[in-house]
Amino acid sequence: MLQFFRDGFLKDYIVLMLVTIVVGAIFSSGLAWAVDSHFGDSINQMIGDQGEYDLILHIREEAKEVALRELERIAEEQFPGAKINETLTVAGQSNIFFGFPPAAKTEEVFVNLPGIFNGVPGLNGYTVIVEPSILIRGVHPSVRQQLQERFQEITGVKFSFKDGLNMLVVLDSMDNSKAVSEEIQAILDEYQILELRFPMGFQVDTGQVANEVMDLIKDQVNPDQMLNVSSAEYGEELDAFLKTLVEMRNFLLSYASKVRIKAKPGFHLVEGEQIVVQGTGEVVPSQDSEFEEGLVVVEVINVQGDQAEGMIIKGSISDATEVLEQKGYRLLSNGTISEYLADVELENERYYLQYAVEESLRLLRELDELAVEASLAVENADAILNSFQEALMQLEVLQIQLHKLSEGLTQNGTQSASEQLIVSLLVNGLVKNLVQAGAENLPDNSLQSLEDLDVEAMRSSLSNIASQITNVQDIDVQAIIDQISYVRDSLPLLEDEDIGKSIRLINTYLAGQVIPGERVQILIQNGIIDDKQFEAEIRDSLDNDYVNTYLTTVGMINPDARAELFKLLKEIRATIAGMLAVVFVIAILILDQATIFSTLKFLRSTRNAAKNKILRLVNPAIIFSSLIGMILLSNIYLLAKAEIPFVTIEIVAIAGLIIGALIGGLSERFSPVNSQEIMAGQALGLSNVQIMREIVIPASRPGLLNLLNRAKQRF
Amino acid sequence: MLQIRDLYKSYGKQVALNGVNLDVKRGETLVIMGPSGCGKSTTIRCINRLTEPDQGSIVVDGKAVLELQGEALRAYRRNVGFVFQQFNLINRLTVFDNVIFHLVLAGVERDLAEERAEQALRKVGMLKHRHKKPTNLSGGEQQRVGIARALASNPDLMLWDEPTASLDPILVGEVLEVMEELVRTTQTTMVIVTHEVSFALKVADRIVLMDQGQIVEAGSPQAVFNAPKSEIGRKYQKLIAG
Repeated sequence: MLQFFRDGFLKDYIVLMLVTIVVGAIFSSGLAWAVDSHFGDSINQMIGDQGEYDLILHIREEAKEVALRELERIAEEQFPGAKINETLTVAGQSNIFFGFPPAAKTEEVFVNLPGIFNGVPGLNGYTVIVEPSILIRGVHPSVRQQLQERFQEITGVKFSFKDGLNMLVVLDSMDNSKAVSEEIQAILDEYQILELRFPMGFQVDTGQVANEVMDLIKDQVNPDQMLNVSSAEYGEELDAFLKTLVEMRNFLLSYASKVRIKAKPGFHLVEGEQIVVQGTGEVVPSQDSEFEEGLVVVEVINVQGDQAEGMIIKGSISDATEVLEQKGYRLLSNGTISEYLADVELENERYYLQYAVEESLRLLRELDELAVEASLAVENADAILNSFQEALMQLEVLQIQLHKLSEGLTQNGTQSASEQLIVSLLVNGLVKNLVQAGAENLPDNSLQSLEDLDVEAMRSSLSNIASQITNVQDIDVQAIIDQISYVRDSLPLLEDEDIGKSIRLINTYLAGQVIPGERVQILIQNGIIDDKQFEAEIRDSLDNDYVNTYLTTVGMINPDARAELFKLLKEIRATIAGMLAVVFVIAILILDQATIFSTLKFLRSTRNAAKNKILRLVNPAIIFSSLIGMILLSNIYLLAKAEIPFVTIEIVAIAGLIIGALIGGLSERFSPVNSQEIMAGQALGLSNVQIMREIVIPASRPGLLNLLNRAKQRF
Repeated sequence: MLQIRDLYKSYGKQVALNGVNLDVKRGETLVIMGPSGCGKSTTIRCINRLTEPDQGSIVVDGKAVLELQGEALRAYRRNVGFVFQQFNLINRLTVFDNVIFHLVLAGVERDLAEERAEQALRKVGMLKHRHKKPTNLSGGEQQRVGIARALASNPDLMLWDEPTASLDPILVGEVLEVMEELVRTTQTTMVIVTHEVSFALKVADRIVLMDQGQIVEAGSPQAVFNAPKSEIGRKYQKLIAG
């Protein structure tokens, strides 16, 4: 093979390779540049030149005409010379570019954007694209004011303003961009937020934790340069939203019918699989039948061994008044009911709730009546108490008089012993009867006991009861009844199926979200701490292994949108160039190089086979084609400044090697050579270079090789 | 002029030449005959190194042909005319260019080359077709162009590799006529591989019979065909007698 090149073809071949690489690079990068340029022009046409527009107003498509008129009015009245350009309408939303006249590009105008444009009909919001500017994303609210003041002191900064969670620093000129950007970065680097995140449901006193944290790091950071900023509103909305979703899911889960599943022996329950039960309908599920409306589908959740909980996702058991025990059949994805795999218990929680509400209503309706009756009862009791007190006093008087009478009888000796005894018995019997008449069941010394009763206290109690009953009567029981009736009427509206779907929807949303737990944030200025080392310390200190610590910046410089867009275009250009390089190399290998590979293979076939077995198996022509593929592709790729994402130059070289080997192996199919003509050339004493120039290449496919050869071809 | 000694060639396990020894005198017309696959074509292809033998030596005018490399080999080949069975013309070139191009590439002055080409074409009766492309010619005409191409370099040795094997019988005659004429009118040493027995009888100074990669018999046409010593010779004798 070396002989083939030594005869003089090497020079031709080197020229061919160089021209191929240069042409390949020009082709790849040129075409990619053309694409890039086309897109770039389109973008410029769309979004204007740098600084031409300051805002993109997002308007509902149907209100576009009215909005344009309003914007023209605003421009005419408030910002003469303003530019308005209507561009793309995407998904029912029109985007209108608005450029303030130079004199109106002030902090005051940009801070008051909502006031200026909120009256525009159909306005869905706006995006600030003022240029030249530097966008700082995610500026922590605790330092926003401080940062804004410092940014405005930087030379080259015109003004800065808050735009949502971001801050825009507007520059005098794009030339200052790099220097200002560096200064802003230096300022941002002075601040850090040390953040502690607690797991969901972990309740902490954030103030106390913040103090502990600041105490722990006081050796590393000057206490004067630490600030608890946990209460800042940063990201609160999302946190609150997620928490609400979780709560809502918990509520729905507790409100849904309870489903308990027990797998039959030999069956395993898998979370997410669906089981069909009869529910309260008449259709009875059976194996190998099709699913029918009226049946209830339960999704398995929370599997524990052979038991699991379930959630109804189709159908409902709202009219079930008692626990249902039913056979559960596996539901296949094609809608076929499969084997009986579990026993399912369904309990309509809402029925119990409805029952309780009904009972409450009954109670409430009777409460008013009960209060009136209770009030009467208290009044009666009070009257009885008065009568009782009066009777008691009379009894006391009577008892005294009877005692006197008894004593008088005893002291009077004119009476016989038997008479005295009879009188005494009569008097005592009379007293007893009187007492019994006033207070039955009282013991013999009951009168004394009756005297001991605290009648005033009893009266006071009665008075309290009367007052409470009056309070009860003051309650607007009817209003309560109305509201509870409304709740009762609403209860059946939420069916199991709706609940199940809602829970699934919430789960879908929550699947990609980190549910926020409690969070403590400490602003640190000019301090350096090792957050991971600190994490271990704080875990020890709080005795909580689940708290995580992060060090974050207070804001991040973001390249401006235009630069990002053009950077993206540049990446697209590089990718296209890479792909074109591959296409070009494949084409050139087939059109040009395959002819050479085929010739080499033919020449090898006329030589004696190598004595070494390994050398006999290795075809130098294919090794050569692999190397050529590698050299061409990697060089064109590099020269064209191509960059396919995740593809390194080593991978490109290997790809070239493989492409070269494949085309080398199949070269006779792509570009067969006429062996008879070559043999004639050999027999006539032509050198290899002459054979190539006069016989092989002129008969080959048109390509660079053919083109370059024409200059040297004599016949 | 040509000495071949102990020439061996095999393709894998198939032996093509199994110790061929041959001498050809200057001006001699040697016809090699034998059944297909006996090694005739391989022998003459080895002579101009279109096929590389595995072993042996070939000496032409004192030059060890198998040791020639590069320009020396090419110079040797330019002095050996080769006529192919399949003509092997360059299809994209005209008849005239097919005859002239190798001369020009070898450094012969264009005028001289053209003169020699015209002479060669005239000899084979193809001058009138000089502007045609080979694809527009009959097989016999193409072969005559092939012969003219070989003649144009005024070779000392001409090798003919079954020049009529690819032609239909009607066209064979015109090529054999040309060949006979050449043998008669030139002093060029010729080694001809052919199956044409009558042609061999007419033109050969000596006939060599080959079988299974070996020379089995050699001698004058009369000796070989009248009193053959080999099996192949006897078969040819029967063929002539029949």
